[in-house]
Amino acid sequence: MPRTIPAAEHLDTIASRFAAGFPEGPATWRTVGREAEYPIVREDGTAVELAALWPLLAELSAERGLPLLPKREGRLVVALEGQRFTYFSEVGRGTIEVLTGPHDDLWQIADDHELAVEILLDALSVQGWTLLGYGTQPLSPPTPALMTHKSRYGVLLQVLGDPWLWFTLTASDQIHASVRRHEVAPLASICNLLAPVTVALCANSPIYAGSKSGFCCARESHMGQIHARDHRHGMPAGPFQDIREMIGHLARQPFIMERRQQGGVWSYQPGALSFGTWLEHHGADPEATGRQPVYDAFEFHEHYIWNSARPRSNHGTIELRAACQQPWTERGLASDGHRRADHMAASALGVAMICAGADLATLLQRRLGDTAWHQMRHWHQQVIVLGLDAPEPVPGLLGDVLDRCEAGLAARGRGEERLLRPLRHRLSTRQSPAQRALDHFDSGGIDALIDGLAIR
Amino acid sequence: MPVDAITFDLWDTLVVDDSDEADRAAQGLLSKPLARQALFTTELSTHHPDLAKDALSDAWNIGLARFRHAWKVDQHTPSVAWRIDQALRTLGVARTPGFDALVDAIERMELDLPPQPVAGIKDALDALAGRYRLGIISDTIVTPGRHLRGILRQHGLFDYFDAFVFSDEAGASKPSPRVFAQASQQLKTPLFSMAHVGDREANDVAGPLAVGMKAVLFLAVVDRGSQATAATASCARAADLPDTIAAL
Repeated sequence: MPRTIPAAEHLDTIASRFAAGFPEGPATWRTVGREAEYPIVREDGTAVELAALWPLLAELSAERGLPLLPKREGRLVVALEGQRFTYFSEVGRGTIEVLTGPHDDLWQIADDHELAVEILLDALSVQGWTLLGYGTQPLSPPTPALMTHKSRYGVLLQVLGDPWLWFTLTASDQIHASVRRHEVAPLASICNLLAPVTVALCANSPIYAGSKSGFCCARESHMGQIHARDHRHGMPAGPFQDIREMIGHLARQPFIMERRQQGGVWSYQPGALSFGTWLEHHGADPEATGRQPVYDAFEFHEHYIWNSARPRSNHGTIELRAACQQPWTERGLASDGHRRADHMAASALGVAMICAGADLATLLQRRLGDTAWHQMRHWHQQVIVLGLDAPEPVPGLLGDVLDRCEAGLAARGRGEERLLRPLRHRLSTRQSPAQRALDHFDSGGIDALIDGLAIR
Repeated sequence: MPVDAITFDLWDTLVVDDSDEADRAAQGLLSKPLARQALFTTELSTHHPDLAKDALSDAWNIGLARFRHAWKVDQHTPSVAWRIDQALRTLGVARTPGFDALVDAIERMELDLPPQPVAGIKDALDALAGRYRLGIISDTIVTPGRHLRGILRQHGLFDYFDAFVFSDEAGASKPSPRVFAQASQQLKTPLFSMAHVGDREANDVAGPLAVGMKAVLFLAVVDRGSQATAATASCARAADLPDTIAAL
C-alpha cells in the first residue's frame, strides 16, 4: 500500500524544486529581460486583430536579417520568435507583447526593444494602425470577442467571470532581473511592498472604453478585483520569510483551472477550491487520473497568480508587474546630452528596486516602522485612484526611494541610472503619465488621447 | 479586514429626498423644480422683457441637461451658477444684476425648508459613532455642500461626522473613485477598512466596491433593486445599521 503524502510534504518538495531554479551563492551580476505589452488601435481607436499582422511582421523582420519562427498553439500562431526579440500575442486580440533579453544591462534591452518596435511600426504603417505607449485599450470595451482564442482563456472567463476580461484590454510593462536563491523571499517582499511607488510614478491607464475611469491606474484597479480577498493580484498580504512560506501563500489561492488528459488529449477544466485542496485529493498520483504531475500543476497554477513581484523559477528571476505600458518619450524632459530611452523608465525602476532592495528595506523600516505594509497598502489604493496627487505615507518617500534606486543602478557602472530621469521629472512636476493622458483626453477626446500616446 | 470607518450617502440615506415637498405644498409654495425655474424666469424677464417665455424655458432646460451630462457622464457636479451661465449663453445674454441673488435663492431653498431625516437615523449614528469614524459622501445637485452641512446641523446630525466629501467641493461625484479616496484621506483610514452605506447600486455599491471598500445597500427609504445587488450587505431599517455593519 503506497504511503499517502500529506499536502504539506508536497509543498516542501515543490518549494525545493522551485528554489532550485535560482542559483545559490553570493549575488553576482544581474541579467535583465523585458516583457512589454502594447495596445494597437485602428484609425478610429478600436482594437485591431493582431493575428493579421504576423505574416507582415515575419516578412519585414526577415528583410532586416532577423528571421522569426512562428510558434503555434494548435493552429493558432501565438508568437514570432527571434534571436534578438520575440513578438507574442496577448490575452487581448489587439495587444502585442515584445519580449527582449536576457541581457547584461538595460541599454542592451533598449537596443533590441527599439529595433523590434521599429519593425513593428513599419508593419503597422502598412495597415494604417497605431501603436500606443499606454496601459490599456483606450476605446474598445472588455468583451469575450476581444479575447484571443486560446481554450484556457475560455476556462478563465468561465471561472473568473467578467473581471478576467480586463486582461483583454490591459498592457503592462514587465521587467525581470536575475536573483540568487537567498534573495528570492526578501527581494520579492520588498518589491511587492514598493508596488505603490511603481503605480504612483508609472500609472498610465485612466481612460478605457472611451471614457474616464476615475482611476489613474484602471489596469491595476480592475485586475485587483480578481480574488481580491486572497490577494491574488497586486500586493500580497505581507512579506514572505522564505520560499516555503511563499509557496504556501500560492497554494492557498483558488486553483482556477487544471490540465486534464482524456484519450491522449489535454484540455483545461475548472479547478479545485485551492491548489492545496487539489494536492490533498490528487497529490498522491495525479497522473493516474489523467492529471498533470504535481510540479507541472503547481507551475500552471502559479502562472495565473499576479502579485506585483513574482519570482520566476524557470528563469531564475523576479518579475515586476505593477507598471502600465509607458509613454515612448517623456513630455517636457530636457536633454542631458546623453542617449535617451524614456520608454525604459519602468524597466529601470524595477531593476533598480531589485539592485537596491536591501537599502530600500532599511529605508522603509526607518521611515514607516512596523506598520510599513499597512501604510503602503493604504497608499497603494490611493495611488491607483489619484496617481501622484495621492499624499505619500511620509513626506519625501518617493524622492528617497528614487535616490536609492539611482544608487543601485549607478553601482552597476553602466549608466543605467540615467534611465530613471523620466521618473524624476514626473515626481518634480507631480504628473504621472496617467495625469498627462487625462490632459490629452480633456483637450480633444479619444482622438487627442491616441495622438498624444502614439509611438511614431 | 475589520471596518474602522463608515461613509454615508446623504439623500435617501440620512435625509429623505423631497420630503420637504409636502411642507412646501402646505405653505402654498411651488414644488422645488418649478420654484427654481420661476426664479430664473422672473430674473431674466425683469432685465430682458423681450425674451419669450418659451425661450427662457428652453434655455433653463438646456442648462439642466448640460448639468446632467456633466454629472452622469463626466462624474462631476457643476455649480448652480454654471448651470445658469449655460442658460444665459443659450439666450445670448450676459449675467443680469440679480445673478448672485438668483443663485443664492436657488441654493438656499432646501436649507430654508429642509428635507426630513430618515426615521431612526440619529439613533443609528449615535450607536455607530462610538465604534467607527463616520463620513459623508454626497453628490450635490442643487444645494451645495456648505448648505448641506447646515441641514445636518438643523437635524443635530452634523457632529457625528469627521469627513465630508461633497461633490461640488471634491471636483468629482459618485461613483468616481476620487470621492472615496478623498474620504479615506479625511478619515485617515485605508479604503480596505471602510464601508459605504447608500441607496443607489451604481453610486453607492459599485463605486465603493471598485476601490476596495465594502458596501451596504440601504433600503429604508426606497428599494431600488435589492434583488440584484452586488452589495456586501443590505439594510432595511436605520435601526439595523449597527448590526449590519458589525457583521460585515
